[in-house]
Amino acid sequence: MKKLLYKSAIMFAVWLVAFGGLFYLVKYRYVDAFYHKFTYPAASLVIGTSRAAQGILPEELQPLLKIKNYAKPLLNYAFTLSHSPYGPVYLASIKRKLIPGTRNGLYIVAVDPWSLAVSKSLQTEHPDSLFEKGGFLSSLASVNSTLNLTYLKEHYTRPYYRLVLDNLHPMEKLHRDGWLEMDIPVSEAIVKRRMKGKIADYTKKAGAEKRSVLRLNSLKETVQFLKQHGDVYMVRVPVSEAMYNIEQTFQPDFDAVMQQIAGSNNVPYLNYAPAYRRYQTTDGNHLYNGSSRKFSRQLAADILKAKSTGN
Amino acid sequence: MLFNSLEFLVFFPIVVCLFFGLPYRFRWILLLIASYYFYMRWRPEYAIILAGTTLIDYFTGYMMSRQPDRKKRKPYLYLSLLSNLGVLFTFKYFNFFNQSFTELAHILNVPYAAPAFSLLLPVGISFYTFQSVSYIIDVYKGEVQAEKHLGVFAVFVSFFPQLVAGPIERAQHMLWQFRQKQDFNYERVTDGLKLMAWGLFKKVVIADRLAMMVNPVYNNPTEYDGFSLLLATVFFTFQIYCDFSGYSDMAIGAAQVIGFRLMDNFKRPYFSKSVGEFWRRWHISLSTWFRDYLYIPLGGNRVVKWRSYYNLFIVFLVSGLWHGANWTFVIWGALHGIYVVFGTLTKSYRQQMAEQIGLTGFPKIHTFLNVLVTFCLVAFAWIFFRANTLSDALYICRNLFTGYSELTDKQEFLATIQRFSGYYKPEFMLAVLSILVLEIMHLVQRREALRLQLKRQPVYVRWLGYSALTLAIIFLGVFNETQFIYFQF
Repeated sequence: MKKLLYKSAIMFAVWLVAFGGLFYLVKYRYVDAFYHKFTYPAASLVIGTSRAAQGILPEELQPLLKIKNYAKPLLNYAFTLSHSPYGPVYLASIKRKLIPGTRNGLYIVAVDPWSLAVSKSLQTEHPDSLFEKGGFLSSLASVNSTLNLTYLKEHYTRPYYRLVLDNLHPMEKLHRDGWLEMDIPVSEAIVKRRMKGKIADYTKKAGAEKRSVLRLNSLKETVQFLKQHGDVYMVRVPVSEAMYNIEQTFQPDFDAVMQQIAGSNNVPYLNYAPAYRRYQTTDGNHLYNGSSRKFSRQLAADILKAKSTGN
Repeated sequence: MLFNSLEFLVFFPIVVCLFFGLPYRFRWILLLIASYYFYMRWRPEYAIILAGTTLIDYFTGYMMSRQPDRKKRKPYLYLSLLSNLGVLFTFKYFNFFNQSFTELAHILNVPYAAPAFSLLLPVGISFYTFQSVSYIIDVYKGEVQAEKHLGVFAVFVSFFPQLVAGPIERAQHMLWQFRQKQDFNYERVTDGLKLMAWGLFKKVVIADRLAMMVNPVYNNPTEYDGFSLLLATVFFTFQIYCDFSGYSDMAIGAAQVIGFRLMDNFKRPYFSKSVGEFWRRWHISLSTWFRDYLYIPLGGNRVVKWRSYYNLFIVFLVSGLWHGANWTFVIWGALHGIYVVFGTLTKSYRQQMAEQIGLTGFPKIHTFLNVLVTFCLVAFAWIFFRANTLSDALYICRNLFTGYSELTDKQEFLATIQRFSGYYKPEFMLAVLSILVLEIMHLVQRREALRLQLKRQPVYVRWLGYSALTLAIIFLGVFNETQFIYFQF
């Protein structure tokens, strides 16, 4: 028995070294596209889906924070269409995220038709029937832990070698401020191929989904909640022309509805979707890095202007 | 509780320490509590069924042992069979047959309406039921003495290493072991731990990795091209082997650590030269069970040829049904029945043909071809085993070799691989590499298990091997606590 215990101790020491390496990677390097968004609380937020996650750089909004004395830190707390469409789940997670007592926060609420839609086959809209109920935003009670073991244990489903490989050959980088920077090929041919797939998927989606009353109400509640803590700006992030056309067919009155919500809550609605020619996408849906930076600067300038004119 | 879970990582060392710390006469109590705790971690209600059938089998076995006349034992035999197979039928097959009769009645325009039961299938019911049935039949035939100690008998039925997915043990092999005094033996314990590590490697590094690529294809086959369907089928062939044999290795290793010897369940089945041989190497505990308790009582091969082929076919049909209440499993079983019968019927012709074309002069090539053909036949049958529905299975069969002309374009080929691998190519490469490692290990272990070969190596080589294995499990393992495939049976 002593021999077994002694040799087990040596083996444990080997494993400890391995886990020590993993700990270093988790604490200081890239884990996945979401983990570091759950490691500290925030006073100002960018919320929405992957368009906002990749398209809005908090770094470019920092001068704005300084000038207008908005509360820090600013975190991009946008995820994907599967995780953070507007709904009770996302709102509850936003409430857990926000530093209590924040009064002068900056809140960019990125909206698009898909984050407010549900399947046509859904007969009754009930919070429990929404698909994001099974995702990490619903089950993760702790969204502000320095070392978020709950997330790592229950939601990091990749093998651990990915922690090493993804840092050696990153295809994406999650900045500490929550911006998801994609490092993927963007040659014309590759973008064209990706766009073809995306357009086909979203055309199918447009036929299978409808606007959700529950999600729309959740968006209103989110805006009203965030208004209590600071300035809210509803933003429609630009996409490709083809994607914009699908959205106009899917929900032709989308802008009018957003304008109405913005108006009734006295918040600006900044619609950049018609300006698709100014920006480049990686797949018709998500802005490419350079365009994200350009767009974020434009957004900062427009927010400053809107704030100055009292809109 | 899964073997590849943190919970088991805590549970098992505690049980082992308590086992060796307790006086021998109390160990059956520990094993019984541990086994029921292990089982109840799925659903506590399952334990009621397990305990119920255990009590009935203990009682019927005990009563049979008091009847020297076989005729007088029959009522107890029937009572036990009714209880065991009745429970199995109710939980596993009632809804399937009910649904099938409903569909048939609808086609024939005959009124039929029986309500379906909403019952969850207890984990491992097929395994422990067969283990109990084998005990009761052996007692009836007088081949085994009925166990008089209820506690020991209960441990035999519920023994946690093999309760939920086998190996399906025989009373002659197991019961006496529960009466032996197991001492702590360093060699035996470490050998058991090494076997568990190897089993865990097969499960989390190979099987669960392959599952990540197989599942999207088999869950939506119409969304994938022929090459993806083929890749998924080949991957599933290795996935199910690694999943099931990995579990068996962990079960055998865990039992060995505490001093019990379970039977081998797999012997490199994909190296078989015929489907008949495949079934002597795959899930050996089940195939020997069917041989001893169904094939031989039906007459085996002691009857006229056509009848023995009929018996074989029936056994494979029943084996298919044992695996699941779905027509896909029945067809899978039937396919294997056809393979074995056809193989037996044509054996001499194939041998003659091999001689005529000179293949027998190249025994290694001949063996390789036999192994390859057997592998292809078995892999094809797995389509029915894995497919969710019969129409999915037929779709896959029809489209397995279509659309290959597009793959001559390099971009298309790479895009197909990328999509198949979930848009992360290293996973595909790892999957292929892990299959290669598996088969190299099989070749190396042709004559002796690698862990026994390693014992003769210098200490630094041994420790390099153990460290590499455990670090591979930590770094490459897929730990989303996927259930073992055979748990659903």
